[in-house]
Amino acid sequence: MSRLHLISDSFETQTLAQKSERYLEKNDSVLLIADGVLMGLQQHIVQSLLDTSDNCYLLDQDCRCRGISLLLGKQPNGGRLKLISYETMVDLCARSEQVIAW
Amino acid sequence: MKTNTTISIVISQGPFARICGKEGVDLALVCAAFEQKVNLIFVDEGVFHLVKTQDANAIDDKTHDKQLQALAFYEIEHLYADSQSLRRYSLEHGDLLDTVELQSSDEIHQLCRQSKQTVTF
Repeated sequence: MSRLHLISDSFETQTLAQKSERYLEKNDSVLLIADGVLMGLQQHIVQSLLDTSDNCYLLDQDCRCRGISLLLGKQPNGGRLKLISYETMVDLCARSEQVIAW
Repeated sequence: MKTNTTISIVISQGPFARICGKEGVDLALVCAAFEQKVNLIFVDEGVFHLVKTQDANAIDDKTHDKQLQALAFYEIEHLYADSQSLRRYSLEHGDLLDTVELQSSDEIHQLCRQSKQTVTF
């Protein structure tokens, strides 16, 4: 585990593409938190994240409070995004050599 | 175009991460208390304020969907959501509170154009 990206905002497709180009590299891990979890409902965005990273996570608590857990399950790629707890998030951050928050 | 005395309050920020949405709803209630006509309009991530299955306990916060459902008692009769924003997030009308009316972006544009004042959050 080398590099973890914490994405806490829901970006427009183009903005995300620009930021990804700036920060994201192939095989980095991505964890969507806060409003970032809303991007999990956007099929083309999920696909572009999965194209770059095999490890895409969503913070479960932030999905549940926004009421989107069931909706995520209905997405074609929803199952490939792993829902994780706060504890696992801490573990991921601690195990990563680098954490990039954007 | 003829304008009326309505105030349009547009909420574009999602719930929980920021307090803008709550402030928008508070302003709507204040306006209603002074007998102003209010359009409360949810666009972009703002539409997530209206999702029925929210569970604020997950992060030890509170939702204000009860407050939104009670708006009719304050004579705020129109809650609008932007249908294009719903499509962006694969949301359906049934995912939202029953009192919400869907409007296209053009219709929301018209609502704002016809309002004396428009405030965005």
